[in-house]
Amino acid sequence: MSINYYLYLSTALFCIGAFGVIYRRNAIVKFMCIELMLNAVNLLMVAFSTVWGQAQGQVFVFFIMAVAAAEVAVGLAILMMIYRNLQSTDTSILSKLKW
Amino acid sequence: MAILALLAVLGLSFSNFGNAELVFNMASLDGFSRPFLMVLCTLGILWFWGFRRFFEEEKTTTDYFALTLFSFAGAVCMVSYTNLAMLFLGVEILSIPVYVLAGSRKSDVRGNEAAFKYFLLGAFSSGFLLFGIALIYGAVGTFDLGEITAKLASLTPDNQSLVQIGFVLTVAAFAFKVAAAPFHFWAPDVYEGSPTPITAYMVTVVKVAAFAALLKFFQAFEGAIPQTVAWAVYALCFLTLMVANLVAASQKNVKRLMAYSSISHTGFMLTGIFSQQVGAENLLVYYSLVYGIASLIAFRVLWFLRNEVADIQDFKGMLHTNQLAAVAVILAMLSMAGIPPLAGFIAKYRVLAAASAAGQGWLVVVGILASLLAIYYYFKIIIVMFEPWETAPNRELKLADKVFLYVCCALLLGLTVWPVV
Repeated sequence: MSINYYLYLSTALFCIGAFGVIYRRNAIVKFMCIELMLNAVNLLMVAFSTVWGQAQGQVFVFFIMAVAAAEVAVGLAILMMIYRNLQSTDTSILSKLKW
Repeated sequence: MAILALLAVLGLSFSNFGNAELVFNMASLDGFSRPFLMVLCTLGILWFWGFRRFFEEEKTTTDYFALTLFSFAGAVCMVSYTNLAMLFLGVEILSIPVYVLAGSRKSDVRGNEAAFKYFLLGAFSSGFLLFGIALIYGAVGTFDLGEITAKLASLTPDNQSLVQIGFVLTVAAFAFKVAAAPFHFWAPDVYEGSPTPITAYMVTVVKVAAFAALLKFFQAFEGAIPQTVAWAVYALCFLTLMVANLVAASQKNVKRLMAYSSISHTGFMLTGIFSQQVGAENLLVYYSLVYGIASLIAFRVLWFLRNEVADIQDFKGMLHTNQLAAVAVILAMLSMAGIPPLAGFIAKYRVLAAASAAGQGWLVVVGILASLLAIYYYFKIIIVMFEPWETAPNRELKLADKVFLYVCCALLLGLTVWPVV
């Protein structure tokens, strides 16, 4: 199967994720969209890794997974903190800082 | 303790113990990374020293120390990477602790908002960085910078376009990290909402590490960047210089003003390293040292004033109530504004000389206009300090803080008369 299909699929996933981060209002959905972006990258890395017949790309995927897990842990902690103070995860109420 | 450790690292990087390939050839300590390591250590030591009360006052001292040192380790990875995997890990090790530190005032809604925005945009830009790296890997088949540079010349047209898209995405991710317009919108919010010491850390150590990594990335792709992409990066420089200075001129909140001022310096540094690329290390080292020390002075005095929403009027009459702090701020502001013969002027001059050597005369004009605008808002603060004071005098600085300010001023003046690099 051509590598191009993988390229198209992961680009589509990445764009869906990116637009989700920009347009969704709920912070948790934003986090999920970021995960979608990272997983699109994972897919692409694994596909390219197979094309080149190397393990490098797959090892990189492990790094990405580990880092993504750490990042989400920190992100959810920040979200918990916000929820405690404001009782909401809607990002549009976060507008104390302007201009 | 942390200062001692950093001093040891600084000493080691001075002592020339040969080039070392580290971590399975994924990082190297060489002529490129050593000067940046010195800059990072200098700024790190000054930061730990100047803001040590940040650690004393909080209940969770050990956590803060651990987080700042983790993120410092990330900065070291970023300046010495030779493999894109190391770059990614460095960026994340640097950023994740800073997300936590930005939100370290848990009950403060502004701090929460800053941490959330920083986290969201940081993770978002990491996504772009990774996608760029994946595309470059797909075209070249390796993560090693040296091998990538070697293989760039012999690529099929398909793979070439993959590399170009990958390059653009990675540079966009870096533009987020260093806060270059139009990817800067998170920066003023985050810098304003975070605790002042952490803001100082972000505008010095984090920014310098990101710039060093960006320069290394540019150098690896030198010659393989098509004209259109180069123009896009120049447009980034132009926008950053203009937007930052125009918006900064209308700011009343000093912390926010300093945020925009830091974005405008981003514009200068970006202009310098992109127009020179090969051999731009000296320029960047000098600029980041001068800019970093001046920022540390400004944020230290801002933190001394204590107001979380520091209005320009807080500086009123400071020259009469607290002369040392006022003189230090004046020196820092004049240097950042680029008034000759101070170090900031030499740094900006070198940037503009690099731009004109690259045949970008229009960017020189833009840079000079931006500096003129910058003079306006830096002088707003200086003029206020000369006004007679009406309120009660400020608290006195502690002796160690006075020494800190003296040392910073001495370093700034020293860089003026003796531009080492």
